[in-house]
Amino acid sequence: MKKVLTDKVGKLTAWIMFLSIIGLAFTSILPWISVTETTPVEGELFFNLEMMEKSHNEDIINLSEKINLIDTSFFLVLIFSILSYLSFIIYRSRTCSSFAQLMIIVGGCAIIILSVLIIFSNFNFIKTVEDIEGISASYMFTSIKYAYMPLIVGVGLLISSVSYTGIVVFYSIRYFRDQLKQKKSTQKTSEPEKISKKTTEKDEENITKTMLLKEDLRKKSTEHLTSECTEIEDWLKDELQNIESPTKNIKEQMEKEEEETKEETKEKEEDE
Amino acid sequence: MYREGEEMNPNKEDSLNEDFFLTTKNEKTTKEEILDENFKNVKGLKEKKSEDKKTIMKKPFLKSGIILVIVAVICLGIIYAPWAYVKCDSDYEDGKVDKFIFKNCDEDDIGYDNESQKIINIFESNNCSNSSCNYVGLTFDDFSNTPKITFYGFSFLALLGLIFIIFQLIERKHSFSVERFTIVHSIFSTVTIIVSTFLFVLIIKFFGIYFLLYYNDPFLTTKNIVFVSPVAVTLLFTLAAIIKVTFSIMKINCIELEKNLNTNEPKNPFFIYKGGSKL
Repeated sequence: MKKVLTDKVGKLTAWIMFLSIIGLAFTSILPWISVTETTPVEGELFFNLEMMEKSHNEDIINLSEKINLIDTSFFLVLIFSILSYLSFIIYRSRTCSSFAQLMIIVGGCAIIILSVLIIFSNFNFIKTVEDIEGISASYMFTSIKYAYMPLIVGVGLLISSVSYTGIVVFYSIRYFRDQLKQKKSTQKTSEPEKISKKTTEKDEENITKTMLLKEDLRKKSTEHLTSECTEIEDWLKDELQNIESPTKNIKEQMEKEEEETKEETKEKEEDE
Repeated sequence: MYREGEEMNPNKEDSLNEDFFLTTKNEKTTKEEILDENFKNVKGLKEKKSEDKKTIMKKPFLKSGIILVIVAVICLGIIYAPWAYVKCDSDYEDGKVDKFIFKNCDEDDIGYDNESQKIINIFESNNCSNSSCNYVGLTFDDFSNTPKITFYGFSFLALLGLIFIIFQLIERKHSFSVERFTIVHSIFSTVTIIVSTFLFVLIIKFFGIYFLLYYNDPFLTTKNIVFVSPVAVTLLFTLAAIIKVTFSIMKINCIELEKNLNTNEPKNPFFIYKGGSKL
């Protein structure tokens, strides 16, 4: 859904940009008005914006100011469309999302207002041209006039800007709703989050702890082994002593018996 | 530990030792296993961090700044080419007037002979009507003002490209976050689009002359006029290409940021600018 939204916003921004550039091109290229002249040649003289600005006639200069307003509006639409797309990128990066979102909404609203202004000033231009004698809106064919071309572009801009702002506003409302939900959920699960934040700090602590614990375990195991070994050695000594003690007694008895027999034999020999 | 009266054999001594170890082993193994697992996890995390650092080192150098500088410099060179080629009929037999109009051209540069006067009459007529002396929407001032503004505009674009290259070099040392880098890149792109559009609108008036040459033909004393502006055409196509490419870069930046946010993958610039967005 998000990717679709990004694509839509991208497409609409591209359309707004394209239409505003086309509008700017139309305003400077197209012949807006035609004036009926008698000198030096009888006929209709066609005026584009450049010619109107350099004209001697005050009515034509006033009309050129109205076209200038349309021109600047188109240029502002272009700037706002690019800025709102830039804010959309900033919003996507989540660096300062609230400000970016505000900028997106402001940009969208500004484009709508400016496109309405373009349409209104275009209508106003056509009306004032009809009121002035000797001046008429120049025509492509008999029924279609050149002044309608920027008007059509303005209508296209209004439609695309309304859809763009609608999507952006809808998305921002959803975003704020999600934020509120997230806030509620964070309040409930604040403790686990705190733990997860501390995990990075604890990683290094874990290493040292594990190292110390391993060393302790090794020491304890060696101590335990040495103590057990001494116990075994003592037991073996006792056992050996126990084994050795009866043999000694026997030996002693044997020696005693031998000595006794020797003494007896000696006594017998003396008696004889 | 041992029963009384039990006899000790050398073989049994070993078995007793084994019994002693078995009792302590169970405790030790559980503890050591847990410890080893933790140790491995921590080591793995450290290795991952080091791998990430390695990928950042492989980050490509974006060519958009370099391309912008090259294009701007080429366009600055193009400005010095003839801005217009005008051809019209002469009063003399089989005679035709054709002139190249360069930048900063005025009436003095064209000349004061009869043939040159015909070209001057195209842009500013001596027989003025009530409303205007200019019938084609272009004057000699446009051949001096427009190239001047275009020169400043393309110089600014070249400077912008240079600044972006310097920013990238600084970024290589300090390694900013991907988001920050993308935002700065987008800001540069925005400024480029605005300046390019301004120049586009400024130059496009050279095409309005074709409408007026057709409609205001009865007012023009010079007949069979051929007007060609090769510089304006070249610059217009170049500027349109710059606008299109810059906007597509912005679009790709946005899509890649979206991908990064959705996948929660390690955020390194090498991943961001894969594919066509290396521009």
